Amino acid sequence: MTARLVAGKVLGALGTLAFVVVFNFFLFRVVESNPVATLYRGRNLTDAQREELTRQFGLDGSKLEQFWRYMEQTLQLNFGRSYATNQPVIDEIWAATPQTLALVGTSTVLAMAIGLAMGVVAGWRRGTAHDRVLTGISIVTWSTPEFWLGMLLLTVFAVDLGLFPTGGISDPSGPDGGLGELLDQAHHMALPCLTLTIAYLGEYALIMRSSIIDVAREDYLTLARAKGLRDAQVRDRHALRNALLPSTTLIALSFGFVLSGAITVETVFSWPGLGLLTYESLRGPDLPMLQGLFLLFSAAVIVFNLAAELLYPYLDPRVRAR
Amino acid sequence: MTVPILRVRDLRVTYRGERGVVPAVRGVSFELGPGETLGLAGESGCGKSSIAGALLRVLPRGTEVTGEVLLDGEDVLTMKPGRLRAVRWSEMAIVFQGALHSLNPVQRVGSQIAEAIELHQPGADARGRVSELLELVGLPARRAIDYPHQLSGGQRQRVLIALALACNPRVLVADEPTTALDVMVQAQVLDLLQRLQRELGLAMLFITHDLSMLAHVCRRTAVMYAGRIVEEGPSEDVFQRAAHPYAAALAAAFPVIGDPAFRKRPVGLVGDPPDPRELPPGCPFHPRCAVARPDCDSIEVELWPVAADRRAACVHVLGGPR
Repeated sequence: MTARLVAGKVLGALGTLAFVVVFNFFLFRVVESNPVATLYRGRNLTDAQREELTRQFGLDGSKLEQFWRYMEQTLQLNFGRSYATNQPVIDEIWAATPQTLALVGTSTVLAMAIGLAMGVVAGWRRGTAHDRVLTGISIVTWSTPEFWLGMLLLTVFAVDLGLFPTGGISDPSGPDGGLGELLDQAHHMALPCLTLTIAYLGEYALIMRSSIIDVAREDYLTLARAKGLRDAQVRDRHALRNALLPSTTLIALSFGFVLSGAITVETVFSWPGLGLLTYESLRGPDLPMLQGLFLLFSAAVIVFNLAAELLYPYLDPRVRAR
Repeated sequence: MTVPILRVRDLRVTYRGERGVVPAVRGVSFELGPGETLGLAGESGCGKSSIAGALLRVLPRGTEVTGEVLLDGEDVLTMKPGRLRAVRWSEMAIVFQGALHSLNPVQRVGSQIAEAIELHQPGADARGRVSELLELVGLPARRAIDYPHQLSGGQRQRVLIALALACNPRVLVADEPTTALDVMVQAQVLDLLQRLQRELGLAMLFITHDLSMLAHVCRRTAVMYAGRIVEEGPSEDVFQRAAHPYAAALAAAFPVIGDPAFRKRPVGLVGDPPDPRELPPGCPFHPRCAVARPDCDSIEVELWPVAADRRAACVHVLGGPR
């Protein structure tokens, strides 16, 4: 791929991001909300104090002035202050990001590994008992609401059996620092991670299954078999990579949704990540926080979409030629 | 005739699918001696490609294949999987149709050839052999690093020939090797196959719908109709003085350029090939036959001798009233 093509794709992604930034401003100005009145309800504020607070939240002046100020601040990664806590939005988002990356990242990787393997086996042995069982599992898990599954697992494994904590990220009386704390956090993460893994794997399995079925009819697999390769060699050396091509975009996009993917599950398990932060901000509504979160979520999808486009030519030599 | 290297006895191929039971090949027998060439001609759907797939057992799963395919006296159809994989490509190889689909699109052509060598001759200098093979089929050795889409149709067909020769097979099955090519390239590929067959002393089964091609390439020709051989004999005789009306029609469909006899004569055959699921009774060709007798729908035709080395499945070769 030429440098010019790469530059073109990067510019395209930046353009999309710029559109999101502008759109974001108007989206959150549609809802009229006065945080000064909400936050300081019942207190007697002087007009001067009220004006000062309004200015702090960036709500003074005309809409046009607000827009330019918003653009200027956004470019400096300043997303304003939370209506709820009066803390800078960027700090709160940074504080919640690692937990979400750990939880959703782990479950996405697990779901992908298990789901893709299930799809390959099911598609390669289409119509057999293996296929029917695996496809059945995939459809059931894919259509299960993840918050419901989370509540179910929570009830059985945490409440009834007491094997896992019911929520949060760590035990307040547990070990502090070192390996002990890490294990405690992993113990807390187990159930939400299992929930998300089950909820995600069906989609990967079904997509991989249909890709493998499409590829299985190809003549080059007949030739590979005629060469004397074992069935598993035909599948792994010749069918797999070709079948992965159409799934690449989906996989990259699903990584883009890692940050925003677990709003309901994080809420069910009180997992202090971006999902729970989103849920709490929606209840406010804490508009600057939501604005910052939306921007981050959009940016993640755009970045991974770009990554998929840049990666694709390395997987498919036919695209490289263009 | 010397001891045949390939002896096919009463081969039957039956597809069982969603569209019912399709008997594609209904009892075909032929022999091929070392270094001999046999052409197999017929319209699409007459079962000729099913024979190619049956010889190396690469037909879709669930296809019923009966009869005998004796390769050096050993029946391919009853071989154990390990023995079958060893025999594939090293004893008998197929030149597949070169329409882009027979080569893996995401693998360099050199490594697709090398894969067969490494499989059957572990420890051999696969890279050196790939260069040799490519030069043997008239391609520069540096083409090994190309992907299939970087080659022209004719070059891809040459790669498929090099691939088929990779493990020095003694029997070569060429399944419509020139179908997707334009006329000039067809002639080149045909010359190449002919030259290699002679130089390497290969036994070759050449499958095509173009009877005129066989007159040049093969010493003997068999014409197939509705899953059976209806005429066989020396290629010149079959092409120029066909005993079976179907073989005659097929020969007439490919006019000899410059021969005035072909210029004004209407060529072609009325009607379509019969549906193999509902074959006409008696001689399956009688509904399309210009010289059919009233009793053709009830006589069970078989291959009757026409001359010392010729046979045809038509009541007319028995003589008697027309």
